[in-house]
Amino acid sequence: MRDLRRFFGSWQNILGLVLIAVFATLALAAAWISPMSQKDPGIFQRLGRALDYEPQPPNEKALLGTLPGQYDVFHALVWGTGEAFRFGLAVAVVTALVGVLLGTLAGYAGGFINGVIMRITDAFLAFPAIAGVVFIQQLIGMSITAIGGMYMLNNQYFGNVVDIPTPLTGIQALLQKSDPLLISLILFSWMPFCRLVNTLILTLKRTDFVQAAQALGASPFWIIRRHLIPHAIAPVIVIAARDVGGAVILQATFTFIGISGNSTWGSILVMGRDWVIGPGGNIFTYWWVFIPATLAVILFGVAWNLLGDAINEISLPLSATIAKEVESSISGSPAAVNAASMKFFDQVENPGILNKPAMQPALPAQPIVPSLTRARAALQQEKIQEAVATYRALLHQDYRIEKIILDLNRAVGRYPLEAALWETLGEAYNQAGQLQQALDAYSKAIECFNRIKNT
Amino acid sequence: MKGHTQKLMPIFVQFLLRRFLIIPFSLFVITLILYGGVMLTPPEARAELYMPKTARVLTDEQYERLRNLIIKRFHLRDPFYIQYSYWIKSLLQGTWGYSPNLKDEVLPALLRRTPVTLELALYSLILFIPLGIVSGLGAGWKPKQSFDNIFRPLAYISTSMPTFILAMVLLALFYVNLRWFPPERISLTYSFQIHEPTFRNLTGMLTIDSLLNGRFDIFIDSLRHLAMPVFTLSIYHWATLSRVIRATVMGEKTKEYIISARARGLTEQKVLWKHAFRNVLAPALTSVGISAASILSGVFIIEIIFNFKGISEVIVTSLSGPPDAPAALGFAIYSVILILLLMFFLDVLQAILDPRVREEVLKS
Repeated sequence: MRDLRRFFGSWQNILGLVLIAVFATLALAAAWISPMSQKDPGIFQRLGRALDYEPQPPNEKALLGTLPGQYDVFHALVWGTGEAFRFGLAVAVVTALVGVLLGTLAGYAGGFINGVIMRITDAFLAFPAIAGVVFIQQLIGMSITAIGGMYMLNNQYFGNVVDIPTPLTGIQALLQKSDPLLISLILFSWMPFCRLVNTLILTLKRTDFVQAAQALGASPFWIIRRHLIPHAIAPVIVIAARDVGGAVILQATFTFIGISGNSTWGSILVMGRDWVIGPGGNIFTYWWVFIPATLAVILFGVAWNLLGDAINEISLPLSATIAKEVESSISGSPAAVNAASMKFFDQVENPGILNKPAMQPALPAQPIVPSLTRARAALQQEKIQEAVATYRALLHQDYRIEKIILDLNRAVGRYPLEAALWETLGEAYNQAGQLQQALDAYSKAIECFNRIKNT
Repeated sequence: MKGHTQKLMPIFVQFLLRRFLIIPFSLFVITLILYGGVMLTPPEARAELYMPKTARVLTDEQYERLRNLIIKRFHLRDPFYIQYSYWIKSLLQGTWGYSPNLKDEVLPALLRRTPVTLELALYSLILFIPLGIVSGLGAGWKPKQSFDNIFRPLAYISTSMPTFILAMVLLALFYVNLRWFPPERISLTYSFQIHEPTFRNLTGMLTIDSLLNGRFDIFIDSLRHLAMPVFTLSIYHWATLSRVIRATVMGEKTKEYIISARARGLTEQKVLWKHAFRNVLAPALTSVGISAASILSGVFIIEIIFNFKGISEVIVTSLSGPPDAPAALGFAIYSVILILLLMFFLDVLQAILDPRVREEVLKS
């Protein structure tokens, strides 16, 4: 509820949402807003004679005028929206899925596997999408000519010539039918997701709640599904949202420069490019050939950018807690106690050196307010993990240590086999400066943990 | 002090080596994937990669025979790893195949066009990195104040403005109306002069060559032609970079060393430039390094729009006519090499500026 109020608190967020809603309505209601003609259905609808080259200004038949060749701008614009959504969402969703999967697996496996996967990710990072697009198109062309077909693009005299005499084999047919730009963008833009998720997972793995889950004997799959992915997903959604707009802009760009892609909005601009600069260098003489399509592309990009920022804003507190946990699990304390606590960590899991993230997610300093009551309630309901996390958060805030120690002592009396509780108690004593007690508690924790491991 | 530097040097060399080793590894991964793509086509198509220049004048029958010879010679019907190793060998030794559309061998064609692309990329890097750092610092240091209020909408517009639209508008304004900045690389009159034997081509970059030849008029002319592409290219990357820096500065501002620096009574300017600046630099350069591929992609797109005859001419030509895999493949590998070198350069720069980076790399 509070998140919702904050979401609607700034006009940028509302603007983003409204723009997306407008585009979505256009896409979904295209058939009602601008129905296809019965005679020749298609995105580009002809409203006059084909040889009439001069674009006509807006009139009642064509709401936004016509392109050279008398194609209706409004019709193409409306029907292009759905296509933009399809393309953008396909790229963003698939790349995010691939990136998250790879990043999580690499991060959870750690060590050598992580190193190899991340180096491969870095290698992909050095590949420009434009080269991929051209390469895939040439592959399609090669496989068609090899079986005696004809494949020529942008030929000086004939334009595009594609002729396939015999049926293609399965994979060739797949290649031929698919959009080279889509494949290329999916193949070569999942890396940011992978890097981001990997960094987050490596960091999260060292947080107390994951350690606690591991100490409690949770399976890797459960930990990944229940603890790691939910915490790492917010920044992924932010980047994915921005990527939707970015992919559509890129598609229009590639269409415009004639490399590949069949973006409708881009095609409008390609058709109208000779009329952008009117007589006397006035760019507003034939404004309708490029301004509506330009605005559509720009607003589409802006809308998804704004939406991404909005999601980023409402998911901030979550990252803040993670940052705090991480920072505290690394910060130092008196040597002997520290050694004991390190020993505990070593036995729970060998964390290895924390890879310093190259691309850090935004980690602001907004604390959450955990309370003693919340911790006690969690203990009462036997949610030990949650209680431990809350007590730790309280400890990091130096909040009434003597009370926490009292509580924890009572708790370990009730659950004497919980390693995580003992460990928290050790940390509390450590923070209060009672080092002997802290050492005792830590050794108890190790003992408990060993018992769990042996059974 | 002396002992300190002595200890530092080997570490730095070690760091350089480690960073440099990434290049062959990345190339290995990329070529593996590219050849994997080529494997989807039949062997007859793969033979195109090895066709010599003279293949165009052969009769159909001779061509067929040559193709079979090539298939046998380069083991094109064998398993992937054998074919791959033969292909790599031919890459290392040869000229990367003959491109029928370019009517040229691929590697020389790429090398000849490289200075044009590099010139464009260098000028925009020189323009947008300092500008991005300064404006990002200024905006992040005092968020939601006068400068930031101008900066944010500007950065927003810049990141969401498609480059080709900006280019179109700029061309209409500065070329058609004002006649200040024309497209292409050089004016027609000078384009004849630079091909004369008296004009020595030393670097291939017109701005530098013209100065070395003492031709100030050509220098001015090439700058006029560079202005619009460089501006269009820089504006997007400027906005992304300064947004990253703005976010980093806002995070850095609450750190203890800033508070302590302020408590010691340093002026705001000193705190910003002596303390915050250095810590912001590393993430900034990392972000440039990560987007190196998109920067070069952007250079190619700008080249195509402004009709600069750079590396991108190879792919544009390769797409106009029959399939031309050697050109596309060569272009892909070549641009990956350029990007890796750019990343390496940025890594080294970052290590020189930020000692933490060096240590981290050696640790991991």
